[in-house]
Amino acid sequence: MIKKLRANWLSIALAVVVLISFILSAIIWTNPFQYDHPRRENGTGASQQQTTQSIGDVYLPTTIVKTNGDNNQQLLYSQRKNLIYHAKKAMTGWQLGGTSTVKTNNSDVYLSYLRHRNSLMLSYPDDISGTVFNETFKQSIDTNRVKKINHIVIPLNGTKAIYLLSDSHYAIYRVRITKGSPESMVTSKRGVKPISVDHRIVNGHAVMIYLHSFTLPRLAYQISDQKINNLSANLMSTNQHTNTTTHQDGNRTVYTDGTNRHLVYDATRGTVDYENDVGRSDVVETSQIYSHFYRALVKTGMPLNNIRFDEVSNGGRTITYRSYVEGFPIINDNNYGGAKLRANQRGTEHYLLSLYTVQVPLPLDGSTVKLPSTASVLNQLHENGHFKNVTNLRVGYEWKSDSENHQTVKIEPTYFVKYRGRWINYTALLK
Amino acid sequence: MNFKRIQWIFLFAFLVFDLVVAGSLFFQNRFTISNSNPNRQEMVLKEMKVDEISCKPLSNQQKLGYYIAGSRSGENDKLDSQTSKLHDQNYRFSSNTLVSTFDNPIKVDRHHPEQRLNRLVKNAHSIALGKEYHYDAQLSDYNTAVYTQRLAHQALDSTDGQLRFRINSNGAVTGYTQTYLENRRILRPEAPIISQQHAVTWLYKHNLIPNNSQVRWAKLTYTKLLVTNSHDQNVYVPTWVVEVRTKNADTVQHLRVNAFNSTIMKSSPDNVNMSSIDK
Repeated sequence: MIKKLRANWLSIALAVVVLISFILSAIIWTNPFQYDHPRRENGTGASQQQTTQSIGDVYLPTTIVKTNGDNNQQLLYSQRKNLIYHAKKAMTGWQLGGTSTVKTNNSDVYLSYLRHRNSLMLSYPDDISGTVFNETFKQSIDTNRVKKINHIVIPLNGTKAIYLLSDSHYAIYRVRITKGSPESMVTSKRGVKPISVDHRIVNGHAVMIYLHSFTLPRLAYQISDQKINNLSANLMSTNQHTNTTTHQDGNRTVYTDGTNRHLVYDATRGTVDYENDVGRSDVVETSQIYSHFYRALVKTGMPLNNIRFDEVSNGGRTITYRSYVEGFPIINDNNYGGAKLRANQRGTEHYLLSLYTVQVPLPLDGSTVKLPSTASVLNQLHENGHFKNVTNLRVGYEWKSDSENHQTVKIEPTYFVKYRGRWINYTALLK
Repeated sequence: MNFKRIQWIFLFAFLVFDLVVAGSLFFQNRFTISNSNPNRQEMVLKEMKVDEISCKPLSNQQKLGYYIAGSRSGENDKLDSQTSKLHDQNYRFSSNTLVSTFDNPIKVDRHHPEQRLNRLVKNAHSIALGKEYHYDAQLSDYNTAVYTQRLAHQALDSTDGQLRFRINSNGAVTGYTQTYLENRRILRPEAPIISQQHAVTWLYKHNLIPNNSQVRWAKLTYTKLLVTNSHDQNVYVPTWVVEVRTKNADTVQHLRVNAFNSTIMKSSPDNVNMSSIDK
């Protein structure tokens, strides 16, 4: 037997390497997206604007919640400190290892991880992909296992692991920390104003609720407006030689390149509605949508300083971006300060944009708004009979469109409810 | 060619294939991470060298900055009220500026006036609120020693917060003028700003640094971005000030880059009318 092996060792070795090559080929074929990385295209190409915001700056968690040893949760709010930035910086220095699934489809267990004792939790406004997590925190966790993430739970009691939570299917993943110490993330309390919160599961969503009434400041901003000529040139330009034609239709200007690009600019509202027929063969894959739309945003030339990913819908084919201030989204009927990008499966991309964003904060007298507890808001909605149409709720800043004043804006904090698919100020429902 | 030789060639070929594919599968993440921004900037720095633009090593460190509001201290405000402590000088406060003459001129070394003046500035009986000012060698010249007020640990590059000492022909300080920025308030949480290297390469890429010149220094300061009509408050923003000297013509210019959004600062700040929202 051994003699035979020795005689044919060359054939056996050849068989082994051929087999290995088969296995490797199979791995590549089954995971094609592992090869596709969101590219950082900062400041390359003549048509692109100088952006210092990488993809990881746009897809950032927006809230940071601390859970104490006695299970009390506090939203860490600060007007001075950028706690998310510091958390991100610390985490990019870690090395994360193997991933395992702790539990799925059990909302009670899921809730207990949302309220993990002695922990910091970073939360995204909506689902992000494992690939985006890797890109943001310079990690390489197993994206086959972890497809979607809503919360990152970082235990501070010496556990050498973090938990990634996904609201869909209540999935809990454990990721080992092979290098790095979460204990160092305990932030100093200077400049931080904690707000008492808790987490509940409402209609299958993990919702953060505010236990008591609290105050937030009114804020003022200078409005920056992008020139429509720049925006239209950025969107309508192609490598091919095509002529863009424009025609005026009342307050609206329509730009077309004759074949597949179409842009409508509404001068009174300052909004832009852009459609591009990329064709069936170039439909972007759903797994690529986060990086595809990041590149689209960069291409528009819109300043991305305060822009954050906010919502994903339509089976992962539509993404809404909004401006964020001090951890809260700015919500406006005309998408001011934000963008809504959609790519359907038939090969049409549809962008809703606006020319206005907020960039420079202005000094205000320091007046504040007292917001009620979440329970009292829900009670008021109950009494009004609107509760059944409300699917979600959160605190944000309202930017009221003012056709008279395009220079400055005062934004006010309030509760927003998701009512028939749109975020609206809850007081509008109480009238 | 015998069969054994063919087997050898196949074995070798498959082995190489396996190693390359396995390697790219396991190390792909490491590869892409190194392919990021700083490398592109290094390339720009090399291009600058070809264009004979010299500069000292530039820092790539990412810092944080604030938008800060403040107003110039006026009559009966903080600076004016502190003047009662001052000794051995003749002063008056007019158009938001303190102008003072020392009873006895103070002899200083023209090239290093700070060696003597630092002690004076820290003394509350000589200079009001002096602890908030630091000597600024770049703004000082033969006849003037300049101290700038500090804002979030950086120099305030504005006439709204400066101490200017007059040095006479005998090398003695005869008096000074002082302005002070008060009611300082952080308007928004800290945010990352561009690095020193980014600021200089940005200026080069936008053709603002001529060929055959020298970048002498680049420092982070706060400069005035906006003037509002709400209680005369101004908004200050972190700014990279870059001094460029052309070697042929020997001219010196200061370029200012907004460190939040990499744009050139305007020569005078914008005015913002807040009356419609400031109720």
